[in-house]
Amino acid sequence: MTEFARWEIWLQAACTLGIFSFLYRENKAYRLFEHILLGLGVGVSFAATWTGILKPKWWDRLPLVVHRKPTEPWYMLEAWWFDWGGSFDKLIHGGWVWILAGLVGLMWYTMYSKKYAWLSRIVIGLTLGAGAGLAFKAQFNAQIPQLLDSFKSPYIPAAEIHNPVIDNWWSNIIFVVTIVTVLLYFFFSIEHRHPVVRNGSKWGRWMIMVSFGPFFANAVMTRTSVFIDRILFLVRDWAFPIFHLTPK
Amino acid sequence: MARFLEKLQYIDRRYLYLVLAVVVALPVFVSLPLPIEPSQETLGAYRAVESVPPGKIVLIQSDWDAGSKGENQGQAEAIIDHLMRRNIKFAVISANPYGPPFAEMVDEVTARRYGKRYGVDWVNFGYKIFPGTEAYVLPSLARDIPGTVKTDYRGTPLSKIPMMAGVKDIHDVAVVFNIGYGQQLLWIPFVQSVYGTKMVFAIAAINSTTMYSYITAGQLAGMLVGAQGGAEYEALIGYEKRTGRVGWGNRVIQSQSWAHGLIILLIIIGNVGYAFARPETKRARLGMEDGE
Repeated sequence: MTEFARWEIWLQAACTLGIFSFLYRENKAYRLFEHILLGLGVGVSFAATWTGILKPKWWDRLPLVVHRKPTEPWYMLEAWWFDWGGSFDKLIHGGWVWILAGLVGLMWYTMYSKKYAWLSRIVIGLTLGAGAGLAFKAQFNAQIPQLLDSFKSPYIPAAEIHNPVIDNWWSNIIFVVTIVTVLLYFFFSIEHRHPVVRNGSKWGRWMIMVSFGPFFANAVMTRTSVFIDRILFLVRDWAFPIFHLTPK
Repeated sequence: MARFLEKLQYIDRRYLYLVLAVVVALPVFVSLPLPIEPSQETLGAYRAVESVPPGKIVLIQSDWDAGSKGENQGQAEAIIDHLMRRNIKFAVISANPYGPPFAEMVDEVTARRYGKRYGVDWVNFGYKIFPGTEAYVLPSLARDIPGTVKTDYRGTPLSKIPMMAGVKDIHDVAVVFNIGYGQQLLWIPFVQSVYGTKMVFAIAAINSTTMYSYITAGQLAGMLVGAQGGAEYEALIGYEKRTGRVGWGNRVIQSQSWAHGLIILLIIIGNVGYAFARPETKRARLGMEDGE
């Protein structure tokens, strides 16, 4: 997959080894590469946000003279000239609404002024309102199918068994018992004194502990994969060519 | 002897890092082909691609970058290989500013293998989903793809890209893939549940555990779990036989097997050390005072 020039591979190797040097102990090389990578990250994010999102979606939609004379050096000054006749149609289709969007966006920054901070509360309110509405819809659409799916029958007709590992009665019973006991464990409105509640919540706690097993194992797997990627790069792409070796 | 065993708890972690580095590099010197049995979730992803009808495209949200290469590169290579081999056109979009070049690297290498051309067989929209705005962008994208995306990542208007002729909205998309370290969960409430579009997540193993309920509820058609998912997908499409080289997922998972063996061994060694530790040492490790 690697399609880099030799000097680029050396640069990558230096960055990788510089960051890995932290495993030995905190040192200046690590700090240097950490700051370089952080700086690069911020720079790339800023440039990509402008070229990929803000420019095509907002700047290019503004009814600016810049669209007619992109090579003019002082187009920024000309940009504010317009002949809007005041019609709503022109506001929308002429792109003037995007100027309003920019102004509304800038209202966020008024929070740094005591005098104009009230303006920022308008956009905060709009954002919170829209966010709450969207979150409400998202919760319903994402969770309701799972809620319905949690009603499982201990009896499965033979014709509906597509995968014997998943579609079986005992699997469904374990599922239902687990979901009820875990909910019981987190049900704090009654004291867990009654044997059914006490033992049920204890079983629920065990089930939660069991579920932490795959969580932890998957975490180890991901961390190891990321580490493997770098080690394979260092050995195959960087070290082997130095010794004219060919990896298996 | 007991004192020696107790000391096993206190091996300097730097030696462990060194041993782990050596162990994971072993497959570079010694090939260890392991039998790979595709899981149900990987089969679901494979079937989703196999069932793409003619005339429809696949949309890939590719958010992986250098940080998650180990987990996602194998997945991306296998999925793109499968799509190109089956002549399925696809578009790539990203919610990560570092994502587009990595996706493009895989696309271009695979395209050379199959003689595919940019703009005709695939297109890269680039970084078009700003983090935090997904709830607005995804529904907009579902309703009007060219209107939302505007240009590809090279700045070419979508109207000038041949493969986008006739692609208007999410109804022209058969499957949405999300390849990345984490999952873009908002595809499910705002697109999958509204339009019924098939969704497949190809994510890091660490983020996969909570996704199984989405599979059983039918909200996800399939899932690739980390490098293992990539290796399974490679096995399903016969990647090694056709390309003549070991896939990235398979390569990582070979090292992974060695690493897991070592980690299990170290857990046993640590526990043996703990079992032989003096009671006062155990209490000290647990932060307990004398008499507790």
